[in-house]
Amino acid sequence: MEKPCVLVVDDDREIVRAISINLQNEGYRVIVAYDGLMALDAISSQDIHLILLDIMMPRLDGLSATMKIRQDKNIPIIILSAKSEDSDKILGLSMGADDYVTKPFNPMELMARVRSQIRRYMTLGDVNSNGSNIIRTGRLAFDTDTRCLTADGVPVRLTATETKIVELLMKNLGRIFSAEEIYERVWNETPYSVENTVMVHIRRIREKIEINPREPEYLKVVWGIGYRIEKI
Amino acid sequence: MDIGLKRSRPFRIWLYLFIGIYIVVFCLTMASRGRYQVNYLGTDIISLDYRDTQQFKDFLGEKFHFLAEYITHDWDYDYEGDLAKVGDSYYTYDYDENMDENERKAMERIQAERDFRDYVDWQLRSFRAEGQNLIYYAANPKTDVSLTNSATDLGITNDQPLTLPKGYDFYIHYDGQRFLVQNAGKPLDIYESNNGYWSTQFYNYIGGDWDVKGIHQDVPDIRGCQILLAVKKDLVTVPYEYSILYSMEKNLTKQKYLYLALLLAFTAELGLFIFSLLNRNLGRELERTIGGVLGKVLLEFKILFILVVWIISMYLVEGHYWAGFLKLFYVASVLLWLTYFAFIDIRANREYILTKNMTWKLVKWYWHLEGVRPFHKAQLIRIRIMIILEALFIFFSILLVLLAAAESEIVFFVMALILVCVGIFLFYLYTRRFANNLVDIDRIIEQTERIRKGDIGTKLEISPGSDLKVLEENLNTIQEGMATAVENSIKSERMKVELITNISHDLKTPLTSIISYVDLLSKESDLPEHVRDYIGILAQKSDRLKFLIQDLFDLSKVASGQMEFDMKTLDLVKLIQQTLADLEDRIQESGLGLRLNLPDEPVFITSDGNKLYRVFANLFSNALKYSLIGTRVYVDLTVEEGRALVEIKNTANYEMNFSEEEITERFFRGDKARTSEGSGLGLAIAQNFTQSCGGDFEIKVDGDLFKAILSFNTI
Repeated sequence: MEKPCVLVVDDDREIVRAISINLQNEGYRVIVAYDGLMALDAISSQDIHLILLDIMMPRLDGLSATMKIRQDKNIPIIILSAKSEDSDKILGLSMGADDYVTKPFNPMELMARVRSQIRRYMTLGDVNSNGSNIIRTGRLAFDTDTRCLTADGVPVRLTATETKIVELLMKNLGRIFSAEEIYERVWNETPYSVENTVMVHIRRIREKIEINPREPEYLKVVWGIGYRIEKI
Repeated sequence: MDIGLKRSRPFRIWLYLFIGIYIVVFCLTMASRGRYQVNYLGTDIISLDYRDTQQFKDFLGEKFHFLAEYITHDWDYDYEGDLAKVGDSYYTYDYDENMDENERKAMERIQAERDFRDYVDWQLRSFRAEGQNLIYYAANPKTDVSLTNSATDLGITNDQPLTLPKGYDFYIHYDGQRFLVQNAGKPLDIYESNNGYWSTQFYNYIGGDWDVKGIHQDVPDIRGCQILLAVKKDLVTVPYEYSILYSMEKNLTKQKYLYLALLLAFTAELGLFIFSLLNRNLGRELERTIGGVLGKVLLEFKILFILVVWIISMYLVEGHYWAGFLKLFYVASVLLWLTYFAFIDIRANREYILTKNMTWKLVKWYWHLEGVRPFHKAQLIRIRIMIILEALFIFFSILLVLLAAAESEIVFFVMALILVCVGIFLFYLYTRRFANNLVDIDRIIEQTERIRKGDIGTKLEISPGSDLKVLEENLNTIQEGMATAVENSIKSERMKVELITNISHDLKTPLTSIISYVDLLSKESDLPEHVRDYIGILAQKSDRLKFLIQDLFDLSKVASGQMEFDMKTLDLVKLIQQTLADLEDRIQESGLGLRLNLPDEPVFITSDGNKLYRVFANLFSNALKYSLIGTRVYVDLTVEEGRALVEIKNTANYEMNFSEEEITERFFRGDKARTSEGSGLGLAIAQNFTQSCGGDFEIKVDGDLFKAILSFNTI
């Protein structure tokens, strides 16, 4: 199989170079561009599987480029930006970007995200398209028959308790469960001072399913209330 | 030709016509005057003594004649007896054709006697009316009849020189043979043919030849009698009586003044006429000067002047039996002058005529008082004026009502009613003004409420012409100032945040490269150990820089109020438990004891969970970082009177040589040396976030005990 091709777009050439090196180390083919128009040229001429796109660039900025690309292409786009506001993230994602990574980023995390997006793009509509008893949210999928959780199509190895917690939360996507409720439903015991116990399990699950466990995307703590898996 | 002269033409024509009439009348009067008439116009009237007037002489003649008749009357006649005899017929004048001669004579006698007695009564009354002004003495030695108002015989009976009381410098004395007359100490020859006495009743007596029949038929024979009339020099009024002498003198005086006034008016008119004929410009100049003088006089004084002139004129004219047209002439003359001055005044002072007066000044004074500052003074002045006015109104109303009751005159009652109405109207005006002020005060209170609540856009509007207009203007100006200040501060805050945002962006881009290349470096395989160590330090510091930039950015946002907070109901107990669970690893690592004292039941508050998590995470990690090894960290949550109180206490591992305020300041770090990790913004962020999340944040330092106290309103 051909190596997946990643287009890296940023006006800062050093950043482009560093990312390229990391990507090449991971085994991807890399094409670089230094502004929006160059990126559009590259996309029209090459077969590209993922775009890493900066927002603030000369000639054509990242958001406009995203809109142009989304007119006829379904290539995953990860936006790289120094803008860290929630509003910026929401704007980028609603323009059609698939992920939003703020600068300065951890190179390892970026690579994990790249992997995740490419895997989803390449295998889209393949494994996950058949069963109706599969619950999906973003890159996570839970098969209620086999009680198996996959992240980007890769099965995640969970313990029995962890599986029970994931099952509860995945079956009620977006609903908030308090630690007591989770304990009662999973352990089938009367809860007493269970916050720590539940939290320990939550953290372990996070390390298995989240790209950056310190900034979880899916399994989130709703502070002062409980826990939930986001519906994406 | 100036407009003023054109306008004054009709007036001048009238003036000339009037002067013409005046001259004609004056000439006629002068020509027809008689030497012995009192009612004449002539230049010598000024020096005329009333004793020289014909009226005076007539008066004396009449009195003398009476006295003569009185003392020569046959007082022995039995009037009452005869009256009784004729009975009723006397009263009914029952003349009978068949009455015989004797009876008729008796009747005639009675009638003559009755007429005489009536005449005596009337004359005596008139003597009484003269009082002290006239002393009379009449005595008939033949019949022993005498009549006098003097206590003494005045030296008449002893044939001595007369001894009149002091102050009587005029007398006429008939000593039985001749008249002796003295005026002001000088003898007057009454027998001289043209001294005026000849045309009075003295005529009969001056002739004095009673033996010649036919001349003195009806004149009493007073030979041998003594008759004296003496007139006081300084005449006095007699109470309740009408003294002819007194009024004679008074009328003459009045006439003199009247004459003077007329003469003066005439001279002035004539002078003005000639003056204006000779020199029109000078005439105008004169009128302008008069106008200038009049312009300085208050209107009230002018009106007062007119009233005084009118009253004086009426007084002068009153009591005269002159020809009607003369009276009219005088009045017209006065009117002419008044109109003339009024005309000059109006023409010269057209603009001030209405404003240059006391009433206007009073009104202006009142308006000035209205504008007096401070406000309370104006109000007090108004209420005082109001009370005084009302008191006056009430006083005069009561007075008028009493008057109306006493005089039973409806007019007074109507006046009282009008006064009451005016008083009520004034009171209404005052209360309306007062009520308006109160309403305005309410509006201002509302406005200040609005401002307090942050609405500085709405302008205050109070009733026009209100006393509080100044307050309205000031408040609106303050509001404008506040609005500008708020706008400016918002703008500057926004600019500050923009600046920090831009700076943090600019910092983040190179930092991205640094982190990326440090990461690449760390992946190099064949590096010496010390280089690897260096790279580790670089990685650590660049990471710290990343958090620092983010913290700085967040802090500036929350401090400028630009951060959005997602307020929700949450359980504070759970939040603390979750945060602690999240930090479980680090707590284990630190080896510090954790003493939790949380209530069993949930404590619900309204806050932003994500922000509050950061607050507690910061506080706990601070406590872990700066606690003395082997000590314990205490976390207490208590609920008191609707407030949830969280206390985090730890024992510091360094000397806390800073104040409680300093520590929450941005970039302040407890140890001051800045050697440890962390951005140094932890407490500042904790404080700002807590306050923005609806809580209170307090740091207390007691020796080595560090205490962070957070409180929230519970639900």
